[in-house]
Amino acid sequence: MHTDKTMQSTYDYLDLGQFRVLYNYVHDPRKMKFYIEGIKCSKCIAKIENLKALNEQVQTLEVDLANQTAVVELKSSESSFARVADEIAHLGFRPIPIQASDDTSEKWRQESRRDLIRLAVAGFCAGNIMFLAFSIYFGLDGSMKRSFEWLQFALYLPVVSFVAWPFYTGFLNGLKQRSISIDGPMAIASFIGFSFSTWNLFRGNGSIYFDSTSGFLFLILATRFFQKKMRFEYLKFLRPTALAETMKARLLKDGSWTWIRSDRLKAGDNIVVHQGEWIPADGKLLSPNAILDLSVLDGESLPRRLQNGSPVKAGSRLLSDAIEVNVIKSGADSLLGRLLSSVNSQSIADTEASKLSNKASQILLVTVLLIAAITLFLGFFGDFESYFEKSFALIVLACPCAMAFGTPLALSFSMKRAQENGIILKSAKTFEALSEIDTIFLDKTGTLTEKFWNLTNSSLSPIPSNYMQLILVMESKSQHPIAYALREIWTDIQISSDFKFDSITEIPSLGVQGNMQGKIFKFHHFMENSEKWFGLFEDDHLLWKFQLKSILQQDSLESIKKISQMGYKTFLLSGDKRSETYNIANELGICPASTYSELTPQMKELLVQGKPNSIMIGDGVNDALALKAAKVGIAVKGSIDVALKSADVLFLNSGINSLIELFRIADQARNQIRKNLKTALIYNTVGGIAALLGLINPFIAALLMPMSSIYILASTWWGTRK
Amino acid sequence: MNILIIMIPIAFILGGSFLIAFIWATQNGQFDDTGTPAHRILIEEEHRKDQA
Repeated sequence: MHTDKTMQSTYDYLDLGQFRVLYNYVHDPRKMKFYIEGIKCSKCIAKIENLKALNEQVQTLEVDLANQTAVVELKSSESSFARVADEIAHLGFRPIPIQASDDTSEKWRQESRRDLIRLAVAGFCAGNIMFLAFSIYFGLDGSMKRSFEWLQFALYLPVVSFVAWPFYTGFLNGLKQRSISIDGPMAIASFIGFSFSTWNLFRGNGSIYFDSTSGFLFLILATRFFQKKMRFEYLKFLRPTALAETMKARLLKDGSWTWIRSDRLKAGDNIVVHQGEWIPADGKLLSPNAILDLSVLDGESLPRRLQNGSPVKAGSRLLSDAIEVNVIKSGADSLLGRLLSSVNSQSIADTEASKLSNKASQILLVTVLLIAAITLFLGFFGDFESYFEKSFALIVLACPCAMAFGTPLALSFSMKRAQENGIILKSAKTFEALSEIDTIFLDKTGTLTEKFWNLTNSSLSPIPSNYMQLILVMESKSQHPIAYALREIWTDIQISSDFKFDSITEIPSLGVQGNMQGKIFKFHHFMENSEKWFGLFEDDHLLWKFQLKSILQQDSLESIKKISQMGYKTFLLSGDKRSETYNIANELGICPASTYSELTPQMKELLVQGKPNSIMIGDGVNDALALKAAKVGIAVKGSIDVALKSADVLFLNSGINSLIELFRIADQARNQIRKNLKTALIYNTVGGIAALLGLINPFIAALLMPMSSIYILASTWWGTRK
Repeated sequence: MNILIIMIPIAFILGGSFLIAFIWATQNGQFDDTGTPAHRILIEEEHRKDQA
């Protein structure tokens, strides 16, 4: 174990046993997986992977650009992960260790490998069976024909067992829940096709259908594979950031601190939090004061200043110097933990494609299977083989193509289309849900407005540079939230050396005061007409005043107008102050009656729950409950992993313009699905009757089936191309 | 047509060995990340340690 205390890095906790267990990758003590913030291009890959040449403890180091992760493998479990993390951080990236339990991509990776192998076997067998079958169709006869048929049989064995396996289990699982799953016809066609063909093969008479059934199964597997791939895509946007940062805590004991997993903290423990770190547990502030960024928790855009004894919450970030905190609640009991678990317990990911199609396919499947069974039953009283052929032709022909892959394809194509426009959907179900929406709830901070602030309502314009410099010099030592905001806004101001104060003092909970050449300058806030102003005073004479205001995002106004024209009711929700929120609402043309300010997460949830057919657009943990409560929860750019766990959709582009695009794509997807279902209805009715009349034998049915599928595929691609 | 008796087994052996190679590659993670390797070839070799 690496216990070198002289090397005090931000990452040295990674070498402690308890954290090693937590961040273990694939149960190998020598491996750890990191999410690496800042990886953008091939140069970054080179930079990071080059570390393995510089650090002799590293066995392998592999970067995954798409997922922005790196797996570090050490030569021995005694070596230090902290050193590698430090080196990565030194290159200008931010490595964040990933917990195995949070690593969804790992689970999907195993599954996609299995699917790919299944698909390869299906393709190999089906392809070769086709070659053999075609030579028979073109007139091959005699002993060569017999041996070709036996070869087909041999090639079909892996299909009926290994390839079709998921269809059997899916069918049986469906039966257990008293429904015919979409896997039904595939399972039945695969099995009956095999039995009947083998029987015919043995008696040396009648047709064999290895080619049609294996081709059919391959096509279905291929579509399913691509559809699943599309779903994986969204997973890579689930990024651990704040959560990973709250996993570690510095436990105070006898005047020095040691790293501890925050879920092992107990009430009454004292912890130290350093500047820039996240508070790992709920507790009480022991230090005189602290400045915390609570934006993740409640969306408040300005940092908050807390006094000794006030409660601090897990998930807030410390902006001021190191503080001590007395732990009250940790891990799952903390506010953050409770928010997260309530989100997790509610998020049962439903991956079924579409309600409408499922219902339609159920009806079709039951009807087809029933007719097929009756036909087969009639066969016992007459010419069994001809009745069997009719019944088998019906099953093969009446594949629910439109449902089995027409609908998933339309949804996948549309999801891809959405993705190209910066809209990531968790599930295609959202397209269906969007048709029932009548109300839209908008979160203010981060959704409609930028996260930072701007000066407005200056009494004169522009603000003279020497005033800015005066304020900045006075505020330079200040830990007050407003000082942070101003430093952010006036980053490019050069401060001349003329501004030298004899003394600078803070006016408690008001502002700052400085003495320069006998003059007293003050900078503090004051109220005027019940609005908050900031003023610069020289000997109590006002030199300058301004307000701070959040900036509207560029497209907000236009998008809101369009959305209300489309007939949706729009509400503005905010955790921010009343005046601030109403100003923004006024600017956007949202009426005051639809505007709610100073809301807690629970109040937002209640409001959203009041409208069952609503969209909630927001970000941050504070919106997680509301996002979950809404029919469609939409997280906007910059959201952390938590919000994404609860949201159905993620907008990568800032602003809500994407919402209009999303509505359009959803409409298009639904129209295409409806069109596919209509096609399927006509095809199945006409084809089914023809099959029952004996006009179509199983071979023709097996030809028609892929043709109808290809038609559906082409029409779907065409219908969703824009 | 007798040539087929040799050709067909050869075809299956060839095809089958490619299938086995594909399965082997998949199980060893060849297709887990299809994006990054494309960038990796752009990395200058001189800065890297001998990979062997």
